[in-house]
Amino acid sequence: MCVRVTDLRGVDLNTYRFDFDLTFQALAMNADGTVYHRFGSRNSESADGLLRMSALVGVLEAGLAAHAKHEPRPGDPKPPKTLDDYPVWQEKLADVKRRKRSIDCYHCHFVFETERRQAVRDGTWERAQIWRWPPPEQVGLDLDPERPQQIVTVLAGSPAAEAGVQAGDRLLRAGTQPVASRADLSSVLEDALPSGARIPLQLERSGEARELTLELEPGWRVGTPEQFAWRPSKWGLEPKPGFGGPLLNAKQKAQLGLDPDAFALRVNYLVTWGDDPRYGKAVVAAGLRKGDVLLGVEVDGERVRLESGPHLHSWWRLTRSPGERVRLLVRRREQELGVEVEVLPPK
Amino acid sequence: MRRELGWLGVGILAATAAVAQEPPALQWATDLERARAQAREQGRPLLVVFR
Repeated sequence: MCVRVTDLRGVDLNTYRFDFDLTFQALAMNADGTVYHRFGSRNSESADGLLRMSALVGVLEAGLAAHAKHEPRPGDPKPPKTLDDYPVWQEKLADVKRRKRSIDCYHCHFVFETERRQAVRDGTWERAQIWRWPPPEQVGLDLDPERPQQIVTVLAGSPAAEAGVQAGDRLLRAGTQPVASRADLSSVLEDALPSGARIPLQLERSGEARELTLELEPGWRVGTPEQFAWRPSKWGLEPKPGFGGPLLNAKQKAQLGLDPDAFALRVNYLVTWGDDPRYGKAVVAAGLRKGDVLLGVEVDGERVRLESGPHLHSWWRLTRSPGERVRLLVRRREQELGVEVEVLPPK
Repeated sequence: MRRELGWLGVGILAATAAVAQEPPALQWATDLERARAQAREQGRPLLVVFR
């Protein structure tokens, strides 16, 4: 049975678990709730760059094979939970209704934001919880997108390297999960505690079976702002820059005499409206204007390397602390300016 | 991106046909729990695509 879900309204998030920041995910599963395999991953470079037909076929074949020998389990192991079961979500709906608007579609990316806001409300939120569904690279593994069991490279000094994994190995199982995709490995890493974990690995090396153990130290899940940049759940994190806009294309950069590889972002919005206009008003008060071209950012005299607009946002939200000063390097018509902004605390 | 993911949707249809053990009666349902109930009744695997 094939079913396509375009709206998360009423969907049991405990049964249909995946990286909800993604715009595409396929679950090969049993009707009793067992997920055999997952397919669908991305990175900050593109939404579909890691998606390959050969890998999808591999997941479907592995799913059929798993189904053939699956022993049905009675009932669902966890009670169902939908977005509507979160009090903060109901408050959001009520607020939207008060403004005479509506949320016509429950987007997948609402889930992590709702979970975060509920955890903040309940006093259980910790910053480290933002690192969800760690990619294989987080433990030092580079998997072949065409054949995801195949390990292409192992990062020196990484947990995978320390465990003895080698380039050329085939990853067959991580923990209790047979691996047919990147998402399968991410699902195992998602369940591993940030405080540390030991994950048994089954591999094949030159036709022989190997069993190794991945040792994950406290803090292992923490990634980089660049890794986090693609995630829509970043928008709810604070502190916020209070502005944004698109990167200039090559032609626009040439018109300004900029290097084609230079970072250049046109400020086309300043968040001086909405639930929290403080951030936008602060950058306006500091001197930033709509139409300015942001050429870079400095902290304590050091230039920060930025790859994209989303990277600017994740960098600001993940690494800046209230009271710090950030210098925005701006081109306005023919002038180059430095705009000093103090990072505000969350509301 | 929409074009590429639309291509992938077509690819899923083709892939499921390619790996089916019997002539597939491919039906893309949109009611998740009804599809799940049917899969349970018929003993069939379930492919759920969130897109």
